[in-house]
Amino acid sequence: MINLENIEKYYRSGLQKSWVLRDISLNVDEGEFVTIMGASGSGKTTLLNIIGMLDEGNNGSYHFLDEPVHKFREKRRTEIHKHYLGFVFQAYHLIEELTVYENIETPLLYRNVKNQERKAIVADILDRFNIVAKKDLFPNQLSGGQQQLVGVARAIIGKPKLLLADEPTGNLHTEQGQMIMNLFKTLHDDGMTIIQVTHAEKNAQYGTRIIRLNDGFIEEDTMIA
Amino acid sequence: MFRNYTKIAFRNLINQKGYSLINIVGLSISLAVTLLMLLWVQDEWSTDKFHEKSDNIYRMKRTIPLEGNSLDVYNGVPYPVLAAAKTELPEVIQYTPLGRSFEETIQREDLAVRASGTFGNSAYFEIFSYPILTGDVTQLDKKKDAIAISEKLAATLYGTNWKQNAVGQIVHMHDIGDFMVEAIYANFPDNSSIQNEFIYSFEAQLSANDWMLEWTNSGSQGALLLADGADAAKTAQKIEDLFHEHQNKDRKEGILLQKFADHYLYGQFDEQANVTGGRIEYVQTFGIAALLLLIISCINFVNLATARASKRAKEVGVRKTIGASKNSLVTQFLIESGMITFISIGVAIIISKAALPQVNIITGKFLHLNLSEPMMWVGICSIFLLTTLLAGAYPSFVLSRYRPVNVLSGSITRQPGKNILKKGLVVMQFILALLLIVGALVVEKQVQYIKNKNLGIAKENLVMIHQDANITESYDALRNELLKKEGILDVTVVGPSPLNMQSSTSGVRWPGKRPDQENIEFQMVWTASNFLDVFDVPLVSGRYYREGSTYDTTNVVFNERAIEIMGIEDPVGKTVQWWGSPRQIIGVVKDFHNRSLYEKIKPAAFLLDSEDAGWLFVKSADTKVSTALSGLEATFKSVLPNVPLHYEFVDKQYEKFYKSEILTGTLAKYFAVFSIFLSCLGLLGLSTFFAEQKSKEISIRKVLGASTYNLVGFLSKEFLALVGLGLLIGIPISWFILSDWLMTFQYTIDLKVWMFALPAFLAIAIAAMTVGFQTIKAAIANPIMSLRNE
Ligand SMILES: Nc1ncnc2c1ncn2[C@@H]1O[C@H](COP(=O)(O)OP(=O)(O)O)[C@@H](O)[C@H]1O
Ligand SMILES: [Mg+2]
Repeated sequence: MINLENIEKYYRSGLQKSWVLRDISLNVDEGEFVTIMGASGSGKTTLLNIIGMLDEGNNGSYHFLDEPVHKFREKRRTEIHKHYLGFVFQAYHLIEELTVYENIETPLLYRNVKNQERKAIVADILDRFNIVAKKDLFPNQLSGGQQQLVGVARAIIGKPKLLLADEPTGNLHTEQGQMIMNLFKTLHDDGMTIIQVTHAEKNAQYGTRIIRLNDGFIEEDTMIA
Repeated sequence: MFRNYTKIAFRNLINQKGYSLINIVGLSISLAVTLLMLLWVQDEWSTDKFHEKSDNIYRMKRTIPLEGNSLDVYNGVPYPVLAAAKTELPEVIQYTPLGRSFEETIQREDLAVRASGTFGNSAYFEIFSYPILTGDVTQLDKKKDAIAISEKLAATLYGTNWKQNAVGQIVHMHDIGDFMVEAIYANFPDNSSIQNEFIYSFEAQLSANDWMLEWTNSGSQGALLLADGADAAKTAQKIEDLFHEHQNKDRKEGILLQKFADHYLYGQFDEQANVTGGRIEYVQTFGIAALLLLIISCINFVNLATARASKRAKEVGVRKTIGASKNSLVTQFLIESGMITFISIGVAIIISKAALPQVNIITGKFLHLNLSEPMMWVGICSIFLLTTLLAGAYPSFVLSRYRPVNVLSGSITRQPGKNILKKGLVVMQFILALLLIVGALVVEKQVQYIKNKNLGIAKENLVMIHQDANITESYDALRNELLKKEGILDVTVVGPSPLNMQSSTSGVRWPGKRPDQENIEFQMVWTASNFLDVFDVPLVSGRYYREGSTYDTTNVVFNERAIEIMGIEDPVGKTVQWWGSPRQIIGVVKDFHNRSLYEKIKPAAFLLDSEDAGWLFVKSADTKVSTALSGLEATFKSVLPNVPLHYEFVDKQYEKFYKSEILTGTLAKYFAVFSIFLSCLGLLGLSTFFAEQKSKEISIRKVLGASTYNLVGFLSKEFLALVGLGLLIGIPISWFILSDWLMTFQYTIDLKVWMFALPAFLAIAIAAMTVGFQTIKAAIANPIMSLRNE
């Protein structure tokens, strides 16, 4: 599903290049649950953003479902975002002016899903995540865990093939964190491909594969039995 | 999707009250001004265009070759040229004389009313679209005592049943005699530049004014109706040829046809007789001024929206990751600005409705905001779209370009370009504001100058009364009685008014007159012997006419300008040829302004003839004007009990020349106030936002010991520098524009440094107060509050 070859990323500061990613080659198949780990500043977010097509490498090639992402125009990227990708952020990033219901509904609006169908899908997911009672609240009226629940709901409502999560539990208490990780596991069991970034070894154990980054290099890539 | 957008837009509107308020207040004021201006411009624009045959109606004008190769364009033409155009040329379908409208007292039994009107023929109603409601207007051509009156006048004279009662009735017109009402026409629409409440038979006019039949007397005006497809220029040429056969001069006068509908807005011609402008320039100026105000408040919107953009950046990032395209984001933000514009337009319509009566008083119009009119909505919708785009396009463009990878990680890198734009817009606002303020000031000063200018002729404490046959007859008795009254200093007769000489002749010859001076026009005024005393005009040499001297009617008095043109040395005692007979120059009068200040002082001749002088002038003592006026009224009652008295103050009358300037001055003041208000409103928004953004920095500086004074300086410096820059750039621009405007006058104020320095100082003071208020608030806030928020 994902095929990175010799991806490099650097920032220029003055005449100097400061390297963030070096020579990253990576294959991720459908149905995998990958965890990216590494010290702060090792390039995890950058790698995830490149995979999520929010950022681009300076060199190398990236194929997503056999399509050459490095040659995409913005329009095609938007299409991919719409139909294949879901994002979960450490800081939740809900839209403050929209209610829980409306936040979750928004991706369907961009997909032009019909009114009736949309209502059914949103109701379904509210039910599944157990947040029906909260649907008319605004994000600032929710706890962190609840906000992240909404974040996940929003990310998966469009049935993406790939879910990307950058430290989804980073701002959460252990308990809430576990709840989110269990949710991920269920999603993975239902067949969703997931790539997450985390610092916690415990969270990594929910997945099927761990990639460790060090100074922009892939230092280790192991499968979990 | 649309609902989602409007929901967000609406919630933002509510959540950001200060921001929304600044935008809505600013936009609704400028939109109201724009709307009102649009009404005014539309009214000006539509003037005289309502005639169904508008495309084929032409006003006949006359060109006069002057010294050198230049041409002067006059509205006056000889009546026979008009008439001949129709009889000789097949493409001329109709002609009508256009009389100058004058006020007249019309009496029906005991009821006397004042109304203004003129003479005309039935073709008048055939050419123009002034519908006849009842009666037979062709009687105007058949009977000398026929008159057509307007519906309004008919209703005043004959009550609600005028339709049955008016036609066939006799009305008495005080100056021109008895007439029979033969037809009643619909009131002339408000956007007709001609307004007549009565039209009496042209035949009557003609029999009392046989000069109108002379081919050489250009005291008439007129319009032609041409056949469809007729070439106006060619027709004008043919008429000119007809005209030339009746002129025995070397440098013959020409004929020009101007679209009747164009005459109102395009009344000025250059030296080649090409249209250069006219009233249209005022229309354009105010249209542009309204647009500038709208731009100022759109700039506010743009500046505030981009300043706030970072607050919306996260939302943009999130939306992009869940599949929002750039276009859908642009749409979203346009809807947000659209919503603010929409609300502002609503408020603007309410403001306009409320302000309309006042606007009508100021502009002397009958504008109305008719929301049931489809054209009105076309206008409103266009303003809506224009404003939404002006205000919303740039912010939505900026916002939709944010990259999620930057905004979601919280590391928005400031693009320097954006700040330059924001600063540039503030600078521009103050350029515009200064232009409007200086403009208001200079126009006001020039209007003052005009009002108070020493014209070389006294216009104070003088009233003028139109002189009809009755007054002329009893002039001596009247004068004797008046002079007995307290407060009345002197009485004289003059015609036309010496402040606006409107009668001229080229029939003056003198030794050494050059061929290219053939057409030089000398203004003529008919006066009584006490003319100079009443008007305080000094004599330069010789003498004025002697009272009761019949011998003096073969003499002539000129002004200095006339002598200068004729180049006569020691003029007193020399002889000129006046209409073919010799007249001796007995005196020279010091030059005074005998036309508007748009024009240079004209050469003029003063003639002795109190019977042809059309106006009675009564001069009162400075402190006893009202006593003199009651004396005047009493005298009229006793000497001429049947003649109603109508007088006008000469200085008020004089101000009417400058109606446009006075209007410009008034409007410019409003524009100036609005522009500075709107610009400062924007500044308030920006500085609020700036202070908010810098609140942490302020707190830290404060903890480190910065005084409030230091902080205010730190916060205000940048804004005031921008305002200052705007003003500096604005000064030469406004200097240039205003000196250009002043050139339209022959006599003007000088532009002084203070006229620019004072508004600039005022603008910067107001701006400093605006910014200062906000920054002081920020500076004295408790530092703990904002630090704890982190
Ligand atoms: N926009 C940027 N400009 C310059 N350097 C950047 C930028 N974004 C990230 N970096 C640098 O790239 C490196 C990797 O960042 P990141 O991928 O966020 O690391 P991680 O998520 O593993 O903590 C860091 O050293 C960071 O300073
Ligand atoms: Mg990171």
